[in-house]
Amino acid sequence: MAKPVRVQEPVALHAADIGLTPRRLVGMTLSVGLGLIFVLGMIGGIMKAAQGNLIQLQPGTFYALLTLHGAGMISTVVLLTAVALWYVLHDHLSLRPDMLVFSVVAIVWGLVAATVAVLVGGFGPAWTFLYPLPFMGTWPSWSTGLFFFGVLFVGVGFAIFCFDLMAGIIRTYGSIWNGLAWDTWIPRLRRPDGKVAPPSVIAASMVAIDGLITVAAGSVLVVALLAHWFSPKFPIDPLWIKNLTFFFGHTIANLAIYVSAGVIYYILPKYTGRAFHTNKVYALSWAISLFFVPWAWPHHLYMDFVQAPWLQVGGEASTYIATIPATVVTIFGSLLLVYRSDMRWRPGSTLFLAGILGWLVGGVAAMLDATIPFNAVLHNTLWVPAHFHTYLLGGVFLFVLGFTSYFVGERQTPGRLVKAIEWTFFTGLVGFLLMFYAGGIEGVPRREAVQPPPGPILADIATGFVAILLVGLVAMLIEFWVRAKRNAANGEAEGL
Amino acid sequence: MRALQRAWPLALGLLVAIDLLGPLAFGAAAPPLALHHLEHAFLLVSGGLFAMAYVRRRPKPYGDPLWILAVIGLGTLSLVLMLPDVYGIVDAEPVLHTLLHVGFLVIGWLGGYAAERYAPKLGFGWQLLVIVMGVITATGFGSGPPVA
Repeated sequence: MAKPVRVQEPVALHAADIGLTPRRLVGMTLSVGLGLIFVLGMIGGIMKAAQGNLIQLQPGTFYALLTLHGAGMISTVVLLTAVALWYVLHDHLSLRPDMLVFSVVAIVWGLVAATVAVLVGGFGPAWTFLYPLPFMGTWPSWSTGLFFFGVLFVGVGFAIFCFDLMAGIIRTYGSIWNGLAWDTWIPRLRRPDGKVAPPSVIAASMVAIDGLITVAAGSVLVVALLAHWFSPKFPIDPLWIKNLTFFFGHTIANLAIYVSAGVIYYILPKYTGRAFHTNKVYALSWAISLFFVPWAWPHHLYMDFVQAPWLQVGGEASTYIATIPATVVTIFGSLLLVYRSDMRWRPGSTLFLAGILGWLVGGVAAMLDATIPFNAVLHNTLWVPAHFHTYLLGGVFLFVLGFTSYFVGERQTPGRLVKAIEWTFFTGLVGFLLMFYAGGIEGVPRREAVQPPPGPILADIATGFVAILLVGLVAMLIEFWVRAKRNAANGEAEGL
Repeated sequence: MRALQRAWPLALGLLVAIDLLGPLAFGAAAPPLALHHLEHAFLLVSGGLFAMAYVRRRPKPYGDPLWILAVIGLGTLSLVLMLPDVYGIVDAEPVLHTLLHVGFLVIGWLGGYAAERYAPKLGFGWQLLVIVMGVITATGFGSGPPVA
């Protein structure tokens, strides 16, 4: 007879051991991350102004800034959403603060390395760094290597986060399958105490598994690029590395949305007074996303005629299959949670619901672009940045801001000033996004320092909206800061 | 079922032994590159499975975060060992080549052990990592048009 395996409880690790409480750690990370988003947003505004001929930028400088903006924004958004999910689940899953420190430090180091490579070295092949461009530019070789080391560090940071998340889920629910709530479908998996994972844990389980798959792809990608950098004899197939770049880059950006879903499942019920409940539909829809999200990347490579047809068709099918279940379940679930509830409108709840709208609009725009006949027209136009700015800036980033507002405490009903700040922010956001879509419809090419008409006039208008957006963002961050100080002085923590 | 649970380490050990010693004994030619990468993945996964079975019998308290850093470092090391510049040194020498394959088995074991030391059952995370890396490397790591 097999001996029963007795597993000891987790090492009691007090946050004080590393001199930080979880709240302080998350607060510091949010401050740094939101500050970075503001700076990277400014860079975005500068690029728009240059495209609109309002200021002059050398093309090399433009492409270097484009690289920093893209790589920096994705890394920072991943960092912020990961920290938000960590915070809402750390008690429930016994997640460790020291692991979060390792994760944050690795990602920040990655960002610093990428920034130095771009600002000092002038590295500028865009965040996609498609081979062989990183090795052919006018920038020095060290900046190429440093940038790839930066990407490696970001991947390591995300891997640490995923491993700890997975450990916490297994510790609490016995297995990752129970974390995905597959026990709702498979009776054999059910725990004796009948405990079923809540929706936020289902989302976290999906992120942990797909996150590790993404990191595995990213590590092969970066090791291959670094090997080529060390020794140019190391052969690289351009199509293979392009597939790998989008496997890693698209999936990690995509996962930021699914991380956010875990935060929504936890926080939105606080405003509505109703809870999300795990059921078979939730478990099934997240299982479908688990399997198909890592297969959506080929929709970036429709123009690569040598790509295997099964990958092209598979990419289109996976995009549809992956996005519909979880988004529909989350969006409909959220609307049903709000409908006829005793909703408490606070800046956080407004930002969360606006973010859900951005997720929906950006997701539909993405699916249009991922549909092969549409892609033949929209590919390489401003439609592409339009859709990902909608779901990242107008979706995921709003969830981060919503979480921050909840985190600093929202006991008071918002006054007129707060509403004015929100209107300013949303006006800038919507106007900015509309100019991108207009450019896409007009066929204005993306990733170009100099654009044909009507690109420059649209960029001029967009620059104005970016300025309004950034003013709104700064005002919002100052309001958060003031509220955090006031609530801390009153001894009030997060929540309503 | 229980017999199967007892027999799998033996069966897997036999397969690993055939894989490691077969080329030495029979002088088989090196497989195509893709298959060779999958062979490395098989050795890494096998090592990880042995480690998981080993740790399961000796449960330990939850470990230090450094175990996770070790897991990530070992995954990267396994890729570095597959670089042509590194691999080329041992490729022509059957004994050295076999020793490197033993190295992959050991890395797999250490990775599985480190993951299980951080938290029980986390060895599955390590297995997921090496399987995905193995499949991806098999699709084209270290191959491509010649560089001018």
